[in-house]
Amino acid sequence: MTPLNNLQFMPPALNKLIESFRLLPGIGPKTARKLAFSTLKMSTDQVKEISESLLDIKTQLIFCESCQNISENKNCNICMDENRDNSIICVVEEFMDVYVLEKSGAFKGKFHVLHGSISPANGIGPDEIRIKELINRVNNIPSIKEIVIATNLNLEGEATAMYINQVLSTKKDKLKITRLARGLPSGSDIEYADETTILHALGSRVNINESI
Amino acid sequence: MGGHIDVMSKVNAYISLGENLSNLSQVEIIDNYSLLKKDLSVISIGFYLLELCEKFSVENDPNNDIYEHLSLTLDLLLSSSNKNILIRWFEINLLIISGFLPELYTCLISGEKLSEGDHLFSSINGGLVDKKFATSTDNYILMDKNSIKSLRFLSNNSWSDVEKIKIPNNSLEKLRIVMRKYIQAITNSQINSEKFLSKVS
Ligand SMILES: [Zn+2]
Repeated sequence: MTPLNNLQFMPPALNKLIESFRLLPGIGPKTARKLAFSTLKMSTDQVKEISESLLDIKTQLIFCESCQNISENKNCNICMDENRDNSIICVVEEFMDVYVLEKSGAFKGKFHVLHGSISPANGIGPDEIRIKELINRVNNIPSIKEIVIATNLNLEGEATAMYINQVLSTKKDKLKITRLARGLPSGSDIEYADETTILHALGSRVNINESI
Repeated sequence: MGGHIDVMSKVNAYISLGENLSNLSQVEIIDNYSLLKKDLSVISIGFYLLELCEKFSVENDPNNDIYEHLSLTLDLLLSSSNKNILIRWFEINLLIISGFLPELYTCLISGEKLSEGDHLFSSINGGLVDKKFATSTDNYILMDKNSIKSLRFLSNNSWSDVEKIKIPNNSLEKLRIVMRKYIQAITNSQINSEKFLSKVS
């Protein structure tokens, strides 16, 4: 850890905590200091609870054997739910995406979490994310009929979607591979939309009676 | 603004420079290369070109020549019939722009003009070395006569001339190896996107 905040007058334990907070995304030096000083003001019990919670997510949570989502058991609750559609799998980049899709209540199938997207310049290729596990799943479970690729709509997400399509379409006959529709978000102004969004929104326009 | 800002998109960005943080106030797309983004093998080339530009650029020091070279190459990417030649042409010209043109005519050890024939490429010295200086422990890459000729041609000519020529596959492969070694030596790093490029193209 680089001691970016290493101030001479600051006790080493406090400096260490500031540096630890800085490891979290979106936390700059000022916020890290603020968090460290707030921790200092907390009761020992509160701090103990926080540190135990932090440890728990590393010791008690594992990845679901099937969908790779975070889980407390070998198989997560979604995979174990017999009321969900086994024939359709929605592929997402991160487990936060599962949360968002679940919140919408619109999807009743199963998920597959890739744990990232293909980002060649950062050294992340297909082998570094959980595409292999998806291929195994598709190969081993005959009931799977459709893969919905819900990776992000940026270049990395698109490259990931194209790669999955490329490898899966050769693996199984009659496997339907779909991509989430791309278009204008609700509540947005057409005036501010970018050309790609407009292009896709026009390309995938629907009959007004079906647009709800 | 999300849709406007993406990798491999040419944009006009309006940024208000602040003391600590700068504020991106407006973005306008000039070209988002939507046709390039429909083909995974072309995307992989795009990732590679962008990473090279990033490696040869210095933060807070805008380099217009690199930008123009990248912009031109992206424009050529869809129409060029031999994308591997285009990649090698891009690399050698990026090296020229950045002041790293390898020495291709004079032996870097003896200082004498190289005779026509096979020679050795030294990524550490930055160019060719006469074959007679080969030792059992060196890291030189043996370059045949045709590969040397091809590399000289790529370094001396514009794309309109380069696209008319044919380079045999074995020479192109040799140029790929030479360029990779030389770029690694200059940047002192691996080019990450190379792995994905070879996987999908
Ligand atoms: Zn699961």
